Amino acid sequence: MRQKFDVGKFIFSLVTFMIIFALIFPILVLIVVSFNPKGFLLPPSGLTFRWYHQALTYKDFISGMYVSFVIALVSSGIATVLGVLISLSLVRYRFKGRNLLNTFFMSPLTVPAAIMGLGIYIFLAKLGMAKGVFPLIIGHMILIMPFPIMAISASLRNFDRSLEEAAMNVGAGPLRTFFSITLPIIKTGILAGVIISFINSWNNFALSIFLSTPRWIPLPMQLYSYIKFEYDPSGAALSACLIFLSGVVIILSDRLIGLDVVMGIGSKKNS
Amino acid sequence: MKIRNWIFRNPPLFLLLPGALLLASFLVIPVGWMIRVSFYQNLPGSYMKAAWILDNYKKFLGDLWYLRNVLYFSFKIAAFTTFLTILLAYPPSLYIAKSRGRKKQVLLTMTLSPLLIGMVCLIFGWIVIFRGQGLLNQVALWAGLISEPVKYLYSLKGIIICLVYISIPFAILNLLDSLGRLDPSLEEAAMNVGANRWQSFRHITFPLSTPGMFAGSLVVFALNFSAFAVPLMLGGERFPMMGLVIYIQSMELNNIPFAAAISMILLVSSMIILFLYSKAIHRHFFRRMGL
Amino acid sequence: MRSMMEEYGEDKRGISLKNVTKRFGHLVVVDSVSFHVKEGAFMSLLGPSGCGKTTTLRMIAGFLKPERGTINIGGVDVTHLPPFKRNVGLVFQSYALWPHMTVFENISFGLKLDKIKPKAIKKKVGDVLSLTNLSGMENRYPRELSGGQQQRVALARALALDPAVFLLDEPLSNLDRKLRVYMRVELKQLQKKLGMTILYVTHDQEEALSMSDRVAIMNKGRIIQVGTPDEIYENPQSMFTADFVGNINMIEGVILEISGRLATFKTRDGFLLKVSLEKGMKPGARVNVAIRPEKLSVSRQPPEGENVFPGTVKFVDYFGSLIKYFVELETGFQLMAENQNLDARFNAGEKVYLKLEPGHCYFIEPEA
Repeated sequence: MRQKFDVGKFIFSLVTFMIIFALIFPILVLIVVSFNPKGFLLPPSGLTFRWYHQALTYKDFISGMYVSFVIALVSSGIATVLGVLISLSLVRYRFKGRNLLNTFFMSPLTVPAAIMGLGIYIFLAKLGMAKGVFPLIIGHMILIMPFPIMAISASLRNFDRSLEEAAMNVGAGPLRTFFSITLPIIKTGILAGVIISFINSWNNFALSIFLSTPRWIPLPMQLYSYIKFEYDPSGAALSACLIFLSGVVIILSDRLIGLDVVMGIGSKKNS
Repeated sequence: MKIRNWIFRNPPLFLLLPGALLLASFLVIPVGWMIRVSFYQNLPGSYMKAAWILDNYKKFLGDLWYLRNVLYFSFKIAAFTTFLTILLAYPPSLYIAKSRGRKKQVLLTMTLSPLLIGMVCLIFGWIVIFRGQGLLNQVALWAGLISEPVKYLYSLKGIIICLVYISIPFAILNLLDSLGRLDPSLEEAAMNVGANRWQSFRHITFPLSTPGMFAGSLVVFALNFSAFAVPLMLGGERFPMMGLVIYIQSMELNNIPFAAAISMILLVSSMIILFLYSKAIHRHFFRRMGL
Repeated sequence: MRSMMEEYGEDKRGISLKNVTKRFGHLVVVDSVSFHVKEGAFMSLLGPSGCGKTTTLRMIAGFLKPERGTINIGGVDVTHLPPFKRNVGLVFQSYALWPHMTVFENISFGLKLDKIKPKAIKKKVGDVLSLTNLSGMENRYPRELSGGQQQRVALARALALDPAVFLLDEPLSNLDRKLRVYMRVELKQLQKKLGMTILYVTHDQEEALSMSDRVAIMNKGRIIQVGTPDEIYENPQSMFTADFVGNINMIEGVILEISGRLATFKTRDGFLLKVSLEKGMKPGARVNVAIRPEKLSVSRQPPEGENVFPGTVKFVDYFGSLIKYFVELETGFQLMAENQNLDARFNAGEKVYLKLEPGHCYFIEPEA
């Protein structure tokens, strides 16, 4: 059978792959630079861990990681707990204004970062809490609240209610049923929510810049000032570390939950 | 006792309460407060004084410079970036929508990975590429495309490239939503009545992907109109987009009331633009398609 | 051999498949399939889910390429042609109506691609709409139509292009029973009126038997038997066909002796049957005898004649117009008998007599 060369399909695939390559290009560049002895002067002339050593022993980076970690942990923890409660009420009950409330809870996604940052700053300043760790935690928590809600709601919607009914049938009260039956079953949604919200808090720059103080500077901001003032390949090394971390998260979430769940939060799963 | 009864009678409200309170306190009220602050008087060198004046708004809306070089400028950039983003996001979305299994997962991960990696890292990557001795210039010089390094850093070109880069994953998510729901037999039916692949795409696939393109363009425009991290890192103060101006006025120049007023102008103009845009799209496309 | 060549040679129109094979990885989904649909004939491709009938259809439509074999439509070898160059009208199981186009636009789309003048398009659309009883629906959107109406639009769309042949992929399966029966008649009438050549894919035997001029039974990628509905039902060549089409009682045994036109058949359980002789049956041959349930009569009194078996009714299945009786014979062997719902009715536990005419059953070679 003759195989004709399909020009149209070839061009389409070519364009697609060029664009996808462009998407991962900056990431590749950072990784290559981070291992390059000559740093930014490419092509790469060898392999070195010097920049990694420098980056990981730099005290500003270390404190940045600590700050980001604490904030992300606390804010995603609280956001997830709240997310469970909110999702339960939005998915399981019908009441007037339910759609409105749903939009309300999704609103942090629609407010521009600068405005949210400024608004929270001014308001907290009025309350006497200008900048610092609590404003940061509060700000992040508001920012990431929609994510656990989306993830857990999706889980709840696919939930088979008869499992709970069976538990109640054998004598479990509502609270017991919730903790023994419901919670374990929606744990993939909860986990996905935690991961997405943690990542978004960890990576956040725009909001943090309005609420941070010299004592509490999250990692993205540390990286920013480093790029602005110092600009050497250890910045690339740190970025590469963060990239590798994201890779680990992707693999972990794939194993634990399934990548399509994590990626498709908010949108319907494709068959 | 009474509270307990109320809890059992209204479970949804009880569950929603903490979250709703939090959101209301720290999002709604702050934004509301910001509206109030936008009428305050700024005290140079100091903080601000409570007042009811329109000076801040007049300073922005009455000054042609601000209107042209900030508001309109941001609008132009956002519109152009949105257009470019949707254009560039479409081929990968179509390709991925038509893939299956492992290949699809891998491609999806690659295209959406920028979302998982912080903005700062990504912009840094582009800075490395753009710099004088940067990669782009090295490659282009070597290929003979240019005779001396082109300035991308601190230039409009660089900002637009970066904005598009960050926006593409969002656009892909929305496009995939539409394209993924497309029933393949609709395209097969078109081919059956004589449409070749291009005609089938043009008359069937493309129109039916309009909801995704529309949703994607809304998200991307809103993101870019208020953009502030990219212009900050790649342009300094040379390219005053709305988000950046808000930051500079509030955090660097300490003129909070003015920044608040600009924020309000940003929100309102955003809403107006998106409202008009939605109206136009709905009238033109959706009514015709009944989607 | 010669007649087969004549069949393919003279009648160049219609659909002709020769040795078509399709593989998915290591799995052979369609295995060297050959059949011919004469011009103006209604042929059903009948088989269980997964037998390869839909794959075969999609190859004829052009969405899949066969590994081997050729496909001819209307005298043209289309094996290597893309789907948009083939002259087939496909009606999808899900109808595949374009939701963003009106009924008119759905039907005229293909005509526009053929660069037909607007006036002619209008006329053609009007014609097919009246053929399918949908006149006046031009400006409706698919979502505004009922299932049955959508199905007819899908058919109209295929008709509009005057294709050489029509391929229908279980088009009635999404309709409820009454509508399905009604559409069967409509479809058949339309076919006869316009002389359409139709290949109809289905897993519903009722549809296949009632509508077709010829039926091709397919299983596991292979064509098992091709024939008229009558031949398929009354003369199944294999155990699969006998079992798949309609209900069957299958009895293993051996031919004892032959006298005249009758063979005496001894079943494994030991009872004797007198069966009409078929050529190739010799004494000592191990064969199966297939009995259709409707051919067994049930009575309270022992009837006259050959092949009378006493037994007890074990189970009664009431179907309204028919009643099925599961009768256990003395040897413990169970037979299923089907009777019309007339006056005679029997209950579980009753002792009855089953009778079978020697000409009302047939021999089948046991599967190797």
